[in-house]
Amino acid sequence: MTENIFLITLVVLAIVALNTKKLRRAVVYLGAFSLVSSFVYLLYGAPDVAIAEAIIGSTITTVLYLVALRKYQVFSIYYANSVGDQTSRYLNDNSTFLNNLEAFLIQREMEPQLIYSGAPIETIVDQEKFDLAIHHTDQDIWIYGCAEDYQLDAVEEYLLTNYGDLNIHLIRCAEGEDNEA
Amino acid sequence: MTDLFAYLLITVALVFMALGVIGLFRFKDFYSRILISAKIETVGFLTIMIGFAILSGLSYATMKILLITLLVMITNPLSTHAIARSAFLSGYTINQETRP
Amino acid sequence: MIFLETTLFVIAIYIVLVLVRVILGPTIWDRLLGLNAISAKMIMSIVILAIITNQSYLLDVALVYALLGFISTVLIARFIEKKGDIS
Repeated sequence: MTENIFLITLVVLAIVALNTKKLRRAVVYLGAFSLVSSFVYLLYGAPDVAIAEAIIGSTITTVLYLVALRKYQVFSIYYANSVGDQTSRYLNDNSTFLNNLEAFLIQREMEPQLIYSGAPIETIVDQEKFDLAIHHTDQDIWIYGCAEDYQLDAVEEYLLTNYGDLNIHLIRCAEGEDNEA
Repeated sequence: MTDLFAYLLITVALVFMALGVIGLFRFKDFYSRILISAKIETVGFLTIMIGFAILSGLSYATMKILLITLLVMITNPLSTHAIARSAFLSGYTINQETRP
Repeated sequence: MIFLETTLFVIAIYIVLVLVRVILGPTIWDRLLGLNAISAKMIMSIVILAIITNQSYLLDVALVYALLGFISTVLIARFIEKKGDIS
C-alpha cells in the first residue's frame, strides 16, 4: 500500500515536470522526483543505488540544471521602424547601435536573435513572443520589454550610459504566464 | 514500558506534523506558511527521532540516528532561512487586502 | 512492527499532501518550502524503513540526505534571489 502511494507519486511528478512552462519549476519538481525515486530504490532493496541517486540526482543535477539555466538564454529582438521612405538611411545609421547591443548581450552570455519586421509595433507587441522590441521613429527610440525580465535592467543601464544622447524610452509591459524561465 | 513511551512520542510527533500540514493549506500568504512549516517541522522531526532512538535500544544504530537528528537540527532552519531571505530580498510582499 | 508500518503509511500520506502544495503553490518559494518539507519527511521514512527491516546500513542513506539535502534548496533560493547569478 505504501509502495503504491510512492509509485503513483513518481508518475505524477514526472508528468508535472514535463508539462510545466517555467524551467525553474521543473528544476524543483525534478528535485522532489529524485527524492521519491531514491526511497523507491530503498524499498526494492538497493541501498547503494539509493545513495548514488541521493548524491547525483538531488545535488549535482540541480546545480548543473541551474548553471545551464543561467547560460541558456535566447534573446529575441524585434526591430521595427516607421520612418517611411528613408528606411535604408536609418538602418545604416542605426546599425552600430544594434551591433553594440548584440555585442553587449553576447558578453552577458545570451544569444541574440535579431528579427527585422515591417509590421506595425502594436501587432508585434500583441502577438509575437519577444524579449525586446525596438521601435524607431523620427526622433525617438521606443524599447518594449517584459516587466519581470531581469536581463532588461542591465540592458537599460547599458543604454543609458552609452547612448544617453539618443531619445530612448523604455516601456515595461506586463507579460502573461507563458514567458519562459 | 520504554516501548510504550517511544510509541507515545511517535504519536505526538505525527500529531505535530499533521498540524504542520494543515497549516500549510490553512494560511493564505507565504510568510505565514513558512513560519508554521519551519517551527512544526523542526519540533516534529526532533520528537519522532527521539522516539526511534528509544525504540531501537542502545546500539550502534542509535548513535547514527542521533547524528542524523543533530545534522537536520542544524540544516533545516538554515534552508528555511535561505528561502525566506530569498523571498524578502526579491521583493515579495503580502497583499494587505487578502490577509487573514 | 504494525505500529511502525502504520507510521510509514501516515508519513506517505503527509508527503502526498505536501506535494499538492508543491504543485499548486502560487509562488516559487512555496514550491521550495514544500521541497524542504518533503526532504525532511523522506529522512524520517528512511529511518523507519531501517528499523522495520532491521538493516542498520540503510541509515547511511539518511545520513547522506541530511548532509546534502539542503544544498539544492539553498542553491535554488540563492539563484532566485540573485536573479540568475549563482556565483
